[in-house]
Amino acid sequence: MSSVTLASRAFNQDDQIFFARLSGDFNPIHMDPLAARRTQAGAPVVHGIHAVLWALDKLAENGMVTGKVRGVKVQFTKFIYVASTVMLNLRHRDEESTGVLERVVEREPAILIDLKEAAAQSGWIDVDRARTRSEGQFPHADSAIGARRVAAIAVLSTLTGMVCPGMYSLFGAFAIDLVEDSNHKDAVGFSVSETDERFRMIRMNVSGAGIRGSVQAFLRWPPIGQASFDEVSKVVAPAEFAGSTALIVGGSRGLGALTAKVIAAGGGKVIVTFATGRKDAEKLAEEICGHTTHDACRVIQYDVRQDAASQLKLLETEVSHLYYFATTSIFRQKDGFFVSSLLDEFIEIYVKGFYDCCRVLNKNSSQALIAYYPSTVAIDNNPLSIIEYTMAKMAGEILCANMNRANTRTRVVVSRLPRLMTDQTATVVPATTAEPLDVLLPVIRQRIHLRFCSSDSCRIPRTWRWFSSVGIALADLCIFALLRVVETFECVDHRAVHSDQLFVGTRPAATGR
Amino acid sequence: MTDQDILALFTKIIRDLLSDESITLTMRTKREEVPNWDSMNYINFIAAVEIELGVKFRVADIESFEDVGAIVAQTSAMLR
Repeated sequence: MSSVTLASRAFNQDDQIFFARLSGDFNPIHMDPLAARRTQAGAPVVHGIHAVLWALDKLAENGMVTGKVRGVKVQFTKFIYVASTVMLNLRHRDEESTGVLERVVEREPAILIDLKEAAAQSGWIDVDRARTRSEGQFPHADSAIGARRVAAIAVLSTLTGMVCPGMYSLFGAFAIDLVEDSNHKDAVGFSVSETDERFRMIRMNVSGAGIRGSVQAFLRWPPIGQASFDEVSKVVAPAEFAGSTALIVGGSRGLGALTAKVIAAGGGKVIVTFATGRKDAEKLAEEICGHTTHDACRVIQYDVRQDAASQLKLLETEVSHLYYFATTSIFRQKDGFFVSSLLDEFIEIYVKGFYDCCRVLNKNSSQALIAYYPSTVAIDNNPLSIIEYTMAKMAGEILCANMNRANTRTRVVVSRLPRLMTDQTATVVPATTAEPLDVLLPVIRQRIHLRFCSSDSCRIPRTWRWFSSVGIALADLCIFALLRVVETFECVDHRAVHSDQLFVGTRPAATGR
Repeated sequence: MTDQDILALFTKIIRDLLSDESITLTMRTKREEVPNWDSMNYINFIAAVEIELGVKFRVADIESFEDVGAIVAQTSAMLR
């Protein structure tokens, strides 16, 4: 089977605005980088239908789509990110030629959250506006299949992105016949024909303006909210973390935001950092301060990829604990199983960024720092699709182990977290995830703040604290002795010899392994 | 329909889905070993199999399939 590249291009921000105006699909996943960051895509993506119309136009320009074409069938298998290059490859398969979009490495929408609500949807999408605005934009496609049908295809984007399911949608596929309809109404009618709870999938029949067929869309998850301050307060003692000041890097959402609530609910002070999500961070601070004191939570901008010293000089206070939840989009579309530039990107965040942050905090502080490095069970499972991420986190673990060995005035606690429900892990496919508070609270309470918690404000009785300290010291000794035995018998199981098991002395009870 | 027939059909479906004729599934193939067979395309694959063979998988099965062989076995059981 041979393959010929017919055309290539990138869609830029202006193209996004152009097609949103043409089709009427202003869904934030295409238009708003901050909102898109909290979707599975992680960044703004091109309207799939825009790419389809571009491909149709190019195929028509080359005589491969003519008036004889009876239908169009499209499956969206990957996101196309803004500014990434898309290639239109023509493949000859047996007798038939098919145009394949490769490297698809590539107003307010309605908000339907419930499939039952979606099941009742039907209506009409006007194609007038799309027809007017698309005039001359896809001239070859217009000639081949008719401007009215081009506009009808364009509004399929509006149907899924703005109407049904609307805000929280992913366009899955469509298959349409090009028909001569007797109804000259310039609109596409739609009605939901099937919903599938297993995949949160919706199938719709569409008909009108020269097309008839079906559209498949998915109801994606809204941004994942973590437990509220009230909920956290029910399981945290009011002065459990009093006296501590925690810098929570990447604390504007997800596990970082949850940790901030836990520490603050326990009487500690938190400084939450954000790289881009200022609104999320300020909303979190408002929630925390509304339940505690006005200075319980501060917000600063901190990008771990930029110089740490100049950014952290704004702290103006000593930090006793660092929680490092800085992250970027983990699940990426890739060409090939290993992309070295992706590894570089992850190393910068999960290794260099962590070390720089610890170094600067130590330099500015009179007391030793306790830092938490959240690692991942991906190191145990080693999924092929995210090896760059896994490698970077593994490098991070090695760094942490050696920071403890090298007496850097930082005691690093590492645990491998299981898959937890966050924006990044909220896939359409059903997946088992652990409850974040159930996983994080024991780690924070038993492994990070326990030794620190020695002030009179701590509600844990002194005797219990003493026994706990002795217990941990004994556990340290036992593990140290065990490791010596392991070394003696040359039993090479490196998983038992790294990170926190060695240096902190307790098994990561909450890792789910 | 034998297990090998089902496997051949799965290979055809995934090749069409990912536009990659080089893919050859075996009973031991894991999803993460196939380039671009991500979570979204896993759903697309399952949906295509269901339409093609007139079967319906349970959510618990979809979550727990460890390799292609497990999907073949479950499909075969449903066809019996």
